[in-house]
Amino acid sequence: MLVLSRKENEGLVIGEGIVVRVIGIEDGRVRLGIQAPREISIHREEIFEEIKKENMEAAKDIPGIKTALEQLKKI
Amino acid sequence: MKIDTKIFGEIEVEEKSAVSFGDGMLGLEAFKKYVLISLPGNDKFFCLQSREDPALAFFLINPWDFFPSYELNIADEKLGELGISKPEQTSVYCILTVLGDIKDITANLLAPIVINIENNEGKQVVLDESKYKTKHRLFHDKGV
Repeated sequence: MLVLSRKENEGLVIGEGIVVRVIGIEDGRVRLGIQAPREISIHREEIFEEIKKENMEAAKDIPGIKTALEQLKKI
Repeated sequence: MKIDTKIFGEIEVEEKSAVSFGDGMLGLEAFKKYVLISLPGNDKFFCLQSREDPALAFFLINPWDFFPSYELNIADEKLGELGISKPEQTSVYCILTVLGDIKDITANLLAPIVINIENNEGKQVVLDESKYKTKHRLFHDKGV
């Protein structure tokens, strides 16, 4: 992993068309501004991981959901 | 067209029920072609079945059927990727997860599926900065 130190208002250029800039630093939080082409999706890492996990879980027990929904119809 | 599915066997679906996800689903990016199937005799639940893997499917709901006050705010650029410029072109679904019992069915309100019903292109959208989570109980969290 590349580790760089940046101050407020300094930025990084990643490949072509992606710029990450430190907008502010306060109370142990760093605010970042990100400029990227629209086809590049940007997510908070923990949210991204959580949704990936949820998708895998949702796809895992499909016969179980089918059975559950069939039971629901009878209610 | 005929498609092979693990849960329904081989079924015949209409061409217009095909939906393509250019980016796939998060964590399942390799699978991009799906069909959206209504469940017979059950108008509240839908199945999004992969056309590339018979074993891959998701169950979906229309979020407003269960969470009437659900709100989502999606950037125009993201909608633009799907060619959506007006609400009438759009369908929104949320993915269900069941862990054990029926009463434990949860819906993922944080990452809904948005489909352009005119060109059949879909995308899973992450609602950053929203109050929603990946698990909302279908039969309890009605106040959401």
